[in-house]
Amino acid sequence: MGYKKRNRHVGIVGIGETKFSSHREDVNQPEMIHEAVRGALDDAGLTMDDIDCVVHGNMELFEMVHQPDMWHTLGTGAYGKSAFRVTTGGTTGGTLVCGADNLVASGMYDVVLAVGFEKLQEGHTTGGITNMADPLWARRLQSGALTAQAAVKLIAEFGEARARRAAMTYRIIMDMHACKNPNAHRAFHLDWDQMEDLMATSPPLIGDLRLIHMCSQSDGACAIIFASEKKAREISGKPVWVRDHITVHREETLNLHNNYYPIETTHSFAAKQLYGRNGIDNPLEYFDVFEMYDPSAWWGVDWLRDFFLLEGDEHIKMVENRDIMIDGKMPINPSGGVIATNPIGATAIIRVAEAAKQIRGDAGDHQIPGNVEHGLASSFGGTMWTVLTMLEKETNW
Amino acid sequence: MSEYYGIDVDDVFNTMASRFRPEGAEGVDAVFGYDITEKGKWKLSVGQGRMALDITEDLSGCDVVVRVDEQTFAGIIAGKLDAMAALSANKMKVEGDFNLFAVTGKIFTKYVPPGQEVEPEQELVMLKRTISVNQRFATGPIMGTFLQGLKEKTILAIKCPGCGRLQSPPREICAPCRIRNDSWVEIGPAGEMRMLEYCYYASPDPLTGETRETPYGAIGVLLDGCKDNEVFWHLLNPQQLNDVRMGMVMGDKVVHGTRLRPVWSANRTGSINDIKYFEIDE
Repeated sequence: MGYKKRNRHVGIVGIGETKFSSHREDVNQPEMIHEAVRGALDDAGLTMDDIDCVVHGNMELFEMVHQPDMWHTLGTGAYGKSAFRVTTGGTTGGTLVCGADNLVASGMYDVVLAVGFEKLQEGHTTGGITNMADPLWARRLQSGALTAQAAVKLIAEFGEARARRAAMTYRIIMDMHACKNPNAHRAFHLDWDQMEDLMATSPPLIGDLRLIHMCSQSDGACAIIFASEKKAREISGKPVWVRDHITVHREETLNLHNNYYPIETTHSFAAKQLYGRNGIDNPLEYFDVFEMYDPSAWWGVDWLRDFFLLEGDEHIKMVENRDIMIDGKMPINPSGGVIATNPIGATAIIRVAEAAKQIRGDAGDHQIPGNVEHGLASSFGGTMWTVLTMLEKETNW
Repeated sequence: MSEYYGIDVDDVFNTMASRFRPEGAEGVDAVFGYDITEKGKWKLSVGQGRMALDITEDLSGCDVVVRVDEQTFAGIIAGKLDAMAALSANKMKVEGDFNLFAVTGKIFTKYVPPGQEVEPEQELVMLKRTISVNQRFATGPIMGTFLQGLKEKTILAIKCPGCGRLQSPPREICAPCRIRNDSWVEIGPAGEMRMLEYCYYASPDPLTGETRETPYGAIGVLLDGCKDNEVFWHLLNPQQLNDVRMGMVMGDKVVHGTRLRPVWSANRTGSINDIKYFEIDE
């Protein structure tokens, strides 16, 4: 894969998030976006006059508002400025970060605002996702992003009891994290004594994928301000640096129906490329936080293997040993992740925002104890696409 | 001051100016007289989109005069009494151009006594819409050939000249090889079940807008002649959801799934619906 080192360093200097919830009926779309933009500007100590360019993104299938960037000019502040629109499904937020980072790194703009949003309550999420499928064939068959594929695979490989416990352990850990994050949409205060009950009684969606395993449908927005190194050091006392990012697509046909393993996923392919070109031999050792786009507890468990290039049952053990907890060896989603909060066009940029907050050390109640220097954020979307973003506290790489 | 049906008749006249609708008075040029028994007389002049109201003793020169007692008038205004019934019962009299009198309903908005106003409608914060759009999608020659095959109860796959991979439904290009697929192979129609998506969730079918009946099974079938992950995506007979087993290849470990065969629709049009579903073939 062709790849060139960045032209100049790019720092994250401002982060804004709305409160995420199932219904933000108190605000319309531009008003909701404005909350995140205002938060990011205040966080950076900037005004819209300081922003050179705005990158805006969501997935139009959900709200059925096409070119929402026009309506949202009022909320994004893009009036009179350069502006771009990104819409790459679930990866939208990750692609927003890639786009904004590239615009600054290239030297085109010094300060770029990226904003992702979704108001899933205003449309139909599963209907929208199903509409992305090939109209001549797959639309008749696809049920949105719901699939039992990861459950079938984990059960086949590790047995029913162990696989189910691992998925529910992952789910409870994510909820415990969400309870620490005041912006999280769903925080149920689940506890370990509910394991058996949840496994037995949560309504099934598809096969072993139950409602409790699956991500939420949320409303909300997230904005990040990116600046060139010189500007970033002027603006922020603790800029977080974007070290690298990678995007991997595959065919438009889904490969979930095969039960044929091992296969190379875009996750593992992207991870290998990214770590390889950055000289990272042991990602588990290297990263201090990983904000994963985990659409369900089953995928969350399964994808640990792909992202950290693990073998055998190492990923299951990470969950069983609770290494993925906020105070564990490899904290995953201290924010509560996507199962707690999923405003789809914002979801992947939230991963980057949350990883950056961890590196700044100001995540609040869900701050990882100890020093956080190296962050990883993932995005997932399309027909199994991946975006990975690496964040750093220093520029000494 | 007396009230009937919660209405003070004075208020009805005092609010006429504020209830006047110039658009309703368009083309009306007339003088109306109101003689409310033991209450008073009013003379209403309407013309050129304007109105004037005078309390008077002299109703001469009116085009139409209504003579009615206070209670009946209040009842009609409140919508409790029918004006025609009041006329029939001789409780109300209309002198002059009767048809003109009927026009007054258009000239004024309805009188609502103080305290009986309906709450103003809530500000619209949510707009529910169902959008229907007719769409037509071109198949292109490759997908068209495949769909044509279904009409003849034939399942075709296209073959990559590089890696030999079979794709069905077919695609023009083998994406990993980045070369054009160039030959057709007939596969199946029977095969082995691999993945079963046992769907409990009642998701919408975007092609029809209808909610799918649950439970249903979306399946991956490894049709005869195919290998590895060259599966065919379709539906399982919903009556057989609990009677099938999934096949799986996990490295060296191979589990064979239930044998399945397609059930063809009687009326085939060249679409995914030409196969109703797959059913057990054992």
